[in-house]
Amino acid sequence: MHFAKPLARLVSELERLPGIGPKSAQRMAFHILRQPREEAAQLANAILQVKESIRLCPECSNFTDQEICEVCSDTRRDRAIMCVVAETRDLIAMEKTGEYKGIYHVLQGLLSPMDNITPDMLKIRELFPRIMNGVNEVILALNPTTEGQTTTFYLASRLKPLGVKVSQIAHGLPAGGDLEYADQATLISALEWRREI
Amino acid sequence: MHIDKLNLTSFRCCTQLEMSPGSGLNIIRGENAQGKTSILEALWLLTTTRSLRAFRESEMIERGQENAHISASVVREKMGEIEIQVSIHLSDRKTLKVNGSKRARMVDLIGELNAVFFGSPDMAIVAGEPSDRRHFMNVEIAQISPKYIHTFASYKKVLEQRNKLLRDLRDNPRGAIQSGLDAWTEQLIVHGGLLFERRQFYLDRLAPIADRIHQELTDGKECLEIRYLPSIHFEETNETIDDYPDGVMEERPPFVIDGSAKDISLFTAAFREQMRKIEPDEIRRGTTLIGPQRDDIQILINGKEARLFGSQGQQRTAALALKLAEFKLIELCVGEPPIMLLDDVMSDLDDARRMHLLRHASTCGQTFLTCTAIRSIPTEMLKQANIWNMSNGEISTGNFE
Repeated sequence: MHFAKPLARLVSELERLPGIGPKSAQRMAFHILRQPREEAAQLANAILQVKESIRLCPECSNFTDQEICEVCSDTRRDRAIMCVVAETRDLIAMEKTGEYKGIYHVLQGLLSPMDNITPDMLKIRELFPRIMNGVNEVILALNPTTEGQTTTFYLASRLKPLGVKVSQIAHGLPAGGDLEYADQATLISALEWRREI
Repeated sequence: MHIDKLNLTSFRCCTQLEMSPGSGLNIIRGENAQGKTSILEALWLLTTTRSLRAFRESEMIERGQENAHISASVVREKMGEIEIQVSIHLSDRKTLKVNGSKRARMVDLIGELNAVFFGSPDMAIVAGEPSDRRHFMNVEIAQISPKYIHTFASYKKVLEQRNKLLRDLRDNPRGAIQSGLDAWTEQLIVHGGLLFERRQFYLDRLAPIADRIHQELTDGKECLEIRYLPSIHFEETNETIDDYPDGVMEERPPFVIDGSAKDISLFTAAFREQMRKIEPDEIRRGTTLIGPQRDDIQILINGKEARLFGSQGQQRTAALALKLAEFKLIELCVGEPPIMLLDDVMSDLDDARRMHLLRHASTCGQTFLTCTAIRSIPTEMLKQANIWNMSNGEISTGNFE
């Protein structure tokens, strides 16, 4: 006994989503099947709408539904400081701190040859003209992973010759964290990134 | 340090096993396939997070069960008692609790318990492939330097990424700079430089100890030289360890776990220089050609390469000397002797070596020794030892008659 064709198709589409395995895909498909028609239509519409209305901001490559994203169009932002992040989610995390008043640049990924991501696949080419346009400090806020560190090095080695100040965010203990429970890698990193007080 | 209590649940053929080993020599006797080595495997897993022999972690779970558990209380001279619990799940995942609190990363287990394992496969250190000797270095250094483990893991990831990029550049030629090769190369150099430095540092310290032990084992007839053969050339530093009179080294334990930044920079500079020269070749071949993944150790007995010219007996003696030296080095670094795991090695050694090993085992902290028969062990040692009988995954106390 197999799933009816339309249902099988839905399952296989859902399975392609990140983090969704065959079991979850089936559960979601049956859930959708039992939903009232309007609710299913809402989901379908939401998916289509996101594809139609969301585009990359022509300045910072952030996802936006405006002509130019909220941050880039905000005139109170300090355009001399730029924070480079990998994903829009990272930008949102930085924004939630409320501490950063500069502008952003979203790379839309990190270097990873295993996933066929080389510099030309990222929004790196778009970065340089923006920096020449009055930015004097670039903060690289990329994940402390192999890919993040390599991308950081790649960018830093190409930005420094432009005479701009380049910094990297600190790695170490989480705020409110317990030294005793910190894992070794984090502690080692915190030690390396210590600073004089 | 010693194990005060060991509990195995659904681990290999041990449905439920509980033992309170003695702090000296523990002899585990039993027929083949009764679960003797499983006890050593469990202790090794608590030391390194890895199995001795399983290809998949779930192989260690008793058939029909969903999880296996190993728990042990480790008594450390300085830090007191530590409760370690490792659970292995069918998904091949492992989880760790230390003193009842859950730890996010398995790798944080390393360093809680130190052990030296010696069994038939270890003969490969002398006679086998370079990869066997790199494995020996990795396991040994990891036990005393957590940073080595983390750096090693990062290095492997970078190497994999860089090799993929080199393959792409070979199959589809384009500008190496535009492809970001320089950034991957630099990451490789930074991590690799530290690995080179650590390996040199530890082998420099292991070598004189191993030589001393080897001379003892051969009544002064043979000397053993251990040389690090990194896959890059670098200028030797002036300081050689042999210059210290015997004993002095032991008074300056430790060995600053972090090698000085200057030493690391010597290695990174040499590595960078040689990477630069070899890059066109690497692109042509589509793979990384130099680095710690190509290191080796040269083992010489009386000036001749043991791998090629040593008799089987000599190779075994050298392997034993290396393992006993490893024991000593861990003791120097950690400040207390590790536990010793001897897996059915009695048959591999001749009488004199066996006696030496047993003398070592009966005087140096806690030892777990598996064997099928205890005939080969002298009575006076048996009298002081704890003897265990292993049968069908169950353990019971035995005696030496």
